[in-house]
Amino acid sequence: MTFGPYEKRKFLSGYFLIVGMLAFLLFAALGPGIYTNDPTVWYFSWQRMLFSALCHQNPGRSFYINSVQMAVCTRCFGIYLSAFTGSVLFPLISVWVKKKFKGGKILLAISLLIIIIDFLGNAFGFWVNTDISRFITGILLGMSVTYMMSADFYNSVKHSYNMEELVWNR
Amino acid sequence: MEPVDQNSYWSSVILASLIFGVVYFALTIGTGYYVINHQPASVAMSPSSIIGTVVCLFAGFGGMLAVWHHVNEYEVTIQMGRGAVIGIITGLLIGVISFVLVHLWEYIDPNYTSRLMDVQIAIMNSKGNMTAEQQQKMADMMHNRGGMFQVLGALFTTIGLGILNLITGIIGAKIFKGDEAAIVE
Repeated sequence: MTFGPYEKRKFLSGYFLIVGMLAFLLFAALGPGIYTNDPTVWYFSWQRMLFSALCHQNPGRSFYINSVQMAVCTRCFGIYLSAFTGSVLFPLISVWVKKKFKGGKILLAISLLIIIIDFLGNAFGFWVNTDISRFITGILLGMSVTYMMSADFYNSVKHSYNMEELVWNR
Repeated sequence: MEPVDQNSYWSSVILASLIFGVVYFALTIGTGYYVINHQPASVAMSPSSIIGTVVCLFAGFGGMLAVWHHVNEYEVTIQMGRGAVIGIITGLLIGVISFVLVHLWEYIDPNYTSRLMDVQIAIMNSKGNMTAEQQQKMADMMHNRGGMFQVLGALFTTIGLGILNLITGIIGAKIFKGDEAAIVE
């Protein structure tokens, strides 16, 4: 595989596009509570509409900002928060330590399994999951996805740049 | 290596968007009727929450399915950029299909939307922390919403589906991309 200037630009623009979209999703997930304390705004907000097909937006399973419900439930918020954070941190860390993170698919499978167990345990009455437990399982899922994707980031950077120059004179 | 860019992804995109559009519509309507037929106070801990949890993020996986189908259809390896394109188109089509189906349903049951809205207001009143004045304002606004509100709602919903499916398309490309070495051989 050859990486010329075009490929480098394409790779970097693709990466920043994804990070930008995740930042946008995270911002939108916070809902209208970041600029108003009127709960009636929620239903008519673009943030609610944006996620209306992607999240059940259950008022009993959501965090509130300024008494206004967030646009997504606690688990989805955990996913968007950790997906954005991980998309910034994991690629940087992998380049910093000059090491490609491995086992991403296994981590993803484990995090999905934890969510399924949490969901089934709650559904069958073994325990009652809470906002915090749903939030944490969401964080695990988002983190594992970005951890897995960071391996491709590392590969692309390795092909694009001299890794020795990229460790910022450690 | 198989010339990836020459393979059309439209059959995969249409198949995935039809499956997800129809299933999402069915789950939405099913959940809607369950909520309508139960007391709002019991909804948060009832099977509707279970359905809701299943529906949660469900529509975001259309892009992943389309990428999986495309990779298997042509036995190709796939770049993440192409996965993103497949994902975003699939997401946009899911939005359009489900919007059309929900509006067709309003011809079958014209009272569906208003009944669901009443229950939603009741749920928000019982779970949220609105004053009586705010509850009344909310109810009035919801019942007096115009056609433009529905169009805007569909637009933002479709944009949300497009963005999330774009991301799941990329993830799908990462997970399902063929064995490059095997294809080269």
